[in-house]
Amino acid sequence: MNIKSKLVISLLTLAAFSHCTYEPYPQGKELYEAYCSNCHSSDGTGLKDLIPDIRNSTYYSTRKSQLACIIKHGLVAQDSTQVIMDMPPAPKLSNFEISNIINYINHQWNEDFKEVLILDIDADLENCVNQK
Amino acid sequence: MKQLAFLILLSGFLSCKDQDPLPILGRSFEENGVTIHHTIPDFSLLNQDSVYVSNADLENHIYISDFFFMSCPTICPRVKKQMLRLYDTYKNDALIKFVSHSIDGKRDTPSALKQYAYNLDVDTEKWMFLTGNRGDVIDIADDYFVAAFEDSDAPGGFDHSGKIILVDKNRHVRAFCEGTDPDDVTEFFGDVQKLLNEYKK
Ligand code: HEC
Repeated sequence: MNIKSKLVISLLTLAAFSHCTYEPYPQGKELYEAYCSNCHSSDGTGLKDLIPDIRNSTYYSTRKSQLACIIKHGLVAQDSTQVIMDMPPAPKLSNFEISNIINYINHQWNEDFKEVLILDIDADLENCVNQK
Repeated sequence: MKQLAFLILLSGFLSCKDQDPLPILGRSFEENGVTIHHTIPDFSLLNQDSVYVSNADLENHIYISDFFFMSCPTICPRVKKQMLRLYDTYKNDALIKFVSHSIDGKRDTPSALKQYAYNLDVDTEKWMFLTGNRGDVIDIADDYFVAAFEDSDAPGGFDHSGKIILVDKNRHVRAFCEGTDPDDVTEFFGDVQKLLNEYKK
């Protein structure tokens, strides 16, 4: 066996073993833990009617172009809803970091996962409505 | 053989630790030959219905307590999730109450706290939310060994720890845990059970 096929085999074995725990967005996971999990929990479940469960959020489907905006600029609770807490902005996050977070949560909880590109995020952030 | 002896010794220690009553925490001192233990002092704070609550309202109960503020951007929701775990387990136990103190009396008015409790889906007969002049709450935090102070540099304007505290019928602090650490809280369940057993014998 040449070096190349050995490498392929060992990579395949590795992939097979690590299949269940493999995390394609390690930075996204770290950032989620640091910036989001205090409120939304590591498992995304949130806290009753105080902090939304983000596992089935419409921000992955019908409102997906707004996701980067709410991460960067926060979300102020509207009087018309039952929500009473604001989501704080995270102005320090770069567009690249935001795309990693989005890919992490999408991959984790959205069945129709499709990777977002940094270019999409740049465009989304240009077009935020209600930008503060 | 040595190993066996060691194991027996170890199990002796472990079971011993399990049977010991919970200690009374805090500074105690001797007065005329009597030991005086640290005790939660008298307090009078407003609850979510704008009614003053004092120690008398907790008489004959043990209670589980924490300190927070509604707009807290950091550890508070994490701690509340653990408080909720405890609440879900003990909500039908008549001996236990839950007491959350807001350290942000300016923004966390009684009516805001009422909405908070409603959104948390808890019964305020069982779990009360107290507020007051910020000085009053921050002072009493000391007696629960919780660090809480105003700090404009801290996220949200307050610095405080996420401890969950267990108080017995005699206003003595008997155990606490880090509410940010689910494993620590799991151990704390054992402490709560132990204190309950003290009263249910
Ligand atoms: C201080 C607590 C807090 C932090 C930290 C936080 N959020 Fe939120 N988040 C909220 C609250 C509260 C809402 C609801 C706000 C509203 O609807 O007005 C919310 C809403 C959301 C929503 C929309 C949910 C829906 O379907 O309506 C998503 C998605 C979200 N957050 C993701 C994140 C991500 C990703 C992070 C980390 C970068 C994060 N949040 C950090 C509190 C927080």
